[in-house]
Amino acid sequence: MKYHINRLKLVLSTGLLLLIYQSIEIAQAIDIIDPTRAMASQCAQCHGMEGNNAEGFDDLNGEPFDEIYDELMDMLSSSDNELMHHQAKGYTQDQIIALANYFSEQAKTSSNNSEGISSEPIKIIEKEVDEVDEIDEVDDEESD
Amino acid sequence: MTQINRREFIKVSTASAALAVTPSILKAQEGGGILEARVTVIGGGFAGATVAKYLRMWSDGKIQVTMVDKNPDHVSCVLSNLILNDRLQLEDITLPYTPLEENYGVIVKQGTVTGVTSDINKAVHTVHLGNGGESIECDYVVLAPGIEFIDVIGLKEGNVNQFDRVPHAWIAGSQTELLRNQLHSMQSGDTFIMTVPLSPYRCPPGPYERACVVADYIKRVKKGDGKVIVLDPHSDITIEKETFSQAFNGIYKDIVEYIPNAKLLEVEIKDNGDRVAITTAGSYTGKVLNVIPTHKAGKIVEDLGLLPDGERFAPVHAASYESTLRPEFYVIGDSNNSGQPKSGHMANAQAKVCADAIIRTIAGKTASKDFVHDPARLNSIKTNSACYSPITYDEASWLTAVFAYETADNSMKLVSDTFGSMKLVPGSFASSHSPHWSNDNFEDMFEWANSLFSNTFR
Repeated sequence: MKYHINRLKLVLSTGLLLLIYQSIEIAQAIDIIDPTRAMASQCAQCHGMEGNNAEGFDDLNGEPFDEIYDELMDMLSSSDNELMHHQAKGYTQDQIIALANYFSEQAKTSSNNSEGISSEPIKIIEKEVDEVDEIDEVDDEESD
Repeated sequence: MTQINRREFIKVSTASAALAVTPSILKAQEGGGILEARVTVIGGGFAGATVAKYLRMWSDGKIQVTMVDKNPDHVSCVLSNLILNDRLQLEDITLPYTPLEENYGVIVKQGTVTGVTSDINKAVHTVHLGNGGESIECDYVVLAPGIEFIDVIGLKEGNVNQFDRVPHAWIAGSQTELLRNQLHSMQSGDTFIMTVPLSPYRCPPGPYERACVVADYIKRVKKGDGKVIVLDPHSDITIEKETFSQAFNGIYKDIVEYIPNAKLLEVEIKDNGDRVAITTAGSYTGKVLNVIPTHKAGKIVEDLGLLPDGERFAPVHAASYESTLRPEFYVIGDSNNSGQPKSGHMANAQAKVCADAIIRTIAGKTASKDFVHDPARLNSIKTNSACYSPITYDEASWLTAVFAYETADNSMKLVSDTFGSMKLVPGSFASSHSPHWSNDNFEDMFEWANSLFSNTFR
């Protein structure tokens, strides 16, 4: 709730900018002024861009608000010595609400982008896969 | 046992490149409205590539971004110690710039920047490339040149440059392979000497991590018949002290000799090829000498007058990374003195704050508003650091921290309780050598690195 009030304030303050610069799209003006986008980008080093992670750490994009919020709040108060538990303590409850809102809303925009350009697989790395498979098979036998 | 790792890493590299969904191709648009501006980024490492990508992405392609680097692609320092023990090959950590061009419309130019001239009246800067290269006009300049080494007598001073015999291997690439080859050609009983640079330096755990990787190689491949001498100018291990002292005094106790208070004074190469490190704690002779000299900001930072006399790193405004000495010039990554750790992960983090600040500056200029110092923004500026360090052939530790903007003194401060390194609770590490490193972390290390590579370069 608090978040939505903040969001409304943001939209209203953006109004001034919009009146002067009609050419800019509303969404973009909000993005410029809303500090959540830049804060949320700090998650991307490990969780992938805009929370879309192909790499392995948890996806954030499109996850339900409650899931992200509850998990981060648990970590915030946890005394476990886990990497992500330390990370969570870098944010206040209000910021965790903003992040959970941001990532849970990203699902809608990401589906619009699904036809975007994807980068080509890197050829050198593709070639490497076979070689390494062989090495690993040897390793597996040894460990047996 | 552990399934690994390099295979998974490489599979994942390929998969993520194929799966990467980008927010539609960004091409330079006509009439960018309030975001019409040109930015030149000098340096294409983790800082430079991230700021270039995010400026394009967050401006919907309205800001024209040119990124200049002297190399055709970037060789990552992250994971580069794993070249030394053949866990990875150089091509595994070589990151092309093509995705930045194709997916985000960053204009990438190969060249060396010789200078930047400014026309104060028109508020236009011109970045000049050497060797008869072109000139790039822009409104903002972002400097992300990484590090430069401070001279060492007998190693690099004036016309002397012996890095091809005494490698630093602290800027990844051919130097890394050179050090790998020297390590691999060590004979029975040979000594590998390395020096830790004076703080602050790039990758705080890096030198100690390297000592572990080299010691592990000697232990496994050379059957323990060799030594590693770590010469540290500090009075103690600077980071992850429990982890590294447990490794040096435990599994590597017969191989690693750690010498504190050993400030490097001079390097000597003897006629028989032996290398000598002359330090404040005595002289040490070995077959291989890896000197990581003390760092300062990349040369261009000094050339442009952004480095005060006697300082090693450039002062910046913490809310934007704009130089305190020259407006419209920004310094991100290892070259600034923001008090945050110097690492690829942190460079990426700073670059996002900088990209956001530049976009706000451009929008704010037309609107006559200060969007950069908007209180809601200042209260939410964060950066973070995370890294994994290999300790053995298939085990690693981790280290992490979060920084937040402090309005009281306009600086980035470590947030309490966010700084930590791996330590398992007693009893839960029965299968591991130590509470400070594990197989799981070794696998996580590749996930982290690949995600970081992807977020920065793809």
